[in-house]
This record gives sequence, structure tokens and C-alpha cells, in this order.
Amino acid sequence: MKAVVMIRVCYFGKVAERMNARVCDIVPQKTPLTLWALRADLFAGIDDWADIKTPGVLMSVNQQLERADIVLQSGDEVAFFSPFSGG
Amino acid sequence: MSMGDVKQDIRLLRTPFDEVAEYGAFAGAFSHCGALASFAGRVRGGASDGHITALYLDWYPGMSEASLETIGRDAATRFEVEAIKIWHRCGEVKAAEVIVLVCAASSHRRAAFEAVDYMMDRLKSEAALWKREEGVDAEGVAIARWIEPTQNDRKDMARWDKE
Repeated sequence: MKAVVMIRVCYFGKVAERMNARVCDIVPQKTPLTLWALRADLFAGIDDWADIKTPGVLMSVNQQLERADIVLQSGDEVAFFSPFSGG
Repeated sequence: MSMGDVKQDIRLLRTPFDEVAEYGAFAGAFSHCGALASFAGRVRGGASDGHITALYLDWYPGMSEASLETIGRDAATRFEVEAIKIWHRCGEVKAAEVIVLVCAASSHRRAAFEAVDYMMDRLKSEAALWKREEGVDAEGVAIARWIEPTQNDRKDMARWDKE
């Protein structure tokens, strides 16, 4: 029996506002799934996202900034957000 | 002094704090140090095209705190300091309230000044926080806009790579 892959997705900053979402759990249709492929799937329904794409969308897995080609594992927490602006 | 000996008080806070009292507590605790430096940042009420009533600082629980701790740890390693303090607000911060307080205690003024300067530059571009300005524009219409890191923020940060 194939194990179900479940990934938690979080959005922060401008990306959360644009996606109109904060957190959701998803079961990917295809595995193995890279971070980049997940991003492409999630943002596919956004008609005009130049406003969040221009400054760049950063990605983390389990709260660590990660490369786009990392393969996601069941139970991972993935986050998408705009560049930081603290201070 | 090794980094492990440096006292670090690093907090991400959802409620306002009195920066004068907090600086006083820091100065009292490290009164034996020859040099104390601090910086407090507040929400500006004005903007070039209107009036800012508040900032909202979005945060990622766990990652945001860790990013502040990394900055504090790096400052403790890089400079001859005895103590550092970083208190940063998140959530809604009203105009004139303090967003951030950064302090450093050292035997020498240069190290204290530089540690504070360094921590602020790192916070601007590496603290895992996202600022949104809220207010009204020149016509009185409500505005809310996310703040992006500026070229100046990146230039300020790059100064430390050269040294």
C-alpha cells in the first residue's frame, strides 16, 4: 500500500494576501514532488501575480530556506513569502 | 570573550514595550561595561503621499524568532561585546510606537557602536518579518501596502561583507 503524502503549505507577507490563504494541507497528485513543481502548481491559478513575482518569492522547507530542486517528503512544512522587511 | 559568554536577550513581542525602561534595565545590568550603545526604531506617522497610522508586521512563528537569534549570535561572534539585546515587535504597531530596540554593551565604544549598526542592517534584510504600511493617502483614501527591502538596505548590508 502506498503511503499518503501530506504537505503543509504556509504563506506569509504579501504572498499570503495575494493567495488569500495562510495555511493549508495538500495531498500532491504526483510524487516525487520538488519544491519548484509545488510552487508552479499552487501559483498556476493566479492570473496576474507580477506584483509578488517581481521582488521574488522565497521558499522554505521546515523553516529553512531551500533550493527549488529539493524533493519534498510527507510531513514537510513548506512556506512561500516575499523578501524580508524587518527592522 | 567567547560568543558563548555573551549575554543575549532576544525577543519577538506582540505587545508594546517602554524602550527607555528597557534600555535602563540593560544599562543597569551592564553598568560595569565602559560602553553602551542602543538604537530604537519607531513607526513614522508621515509618508511622502499621506499619513501612516500603523504598521503590520507579519511573522512566521519559529522562523522569525530563529532569524533574530542568528543575527544576535553573529553579532556576538563578530564584535567584542559582553551583552546584546534585540527586542522586535510583530503584529500591529501603531504610529509612534517602538518597532525595534537594539543594545550592545562592550569595554570599548567602537565595538558597541558597530554591533548595534550591524544588527540593525541585518534586521532590515534578514529578519523573517514582513511589513505592511496602513494609513490614508493625500486624498484621504485608506491605503495598505507591503514594504519591500530597498537598494539602500542591501547596500547597508553589503558594507559588512567588505570588512
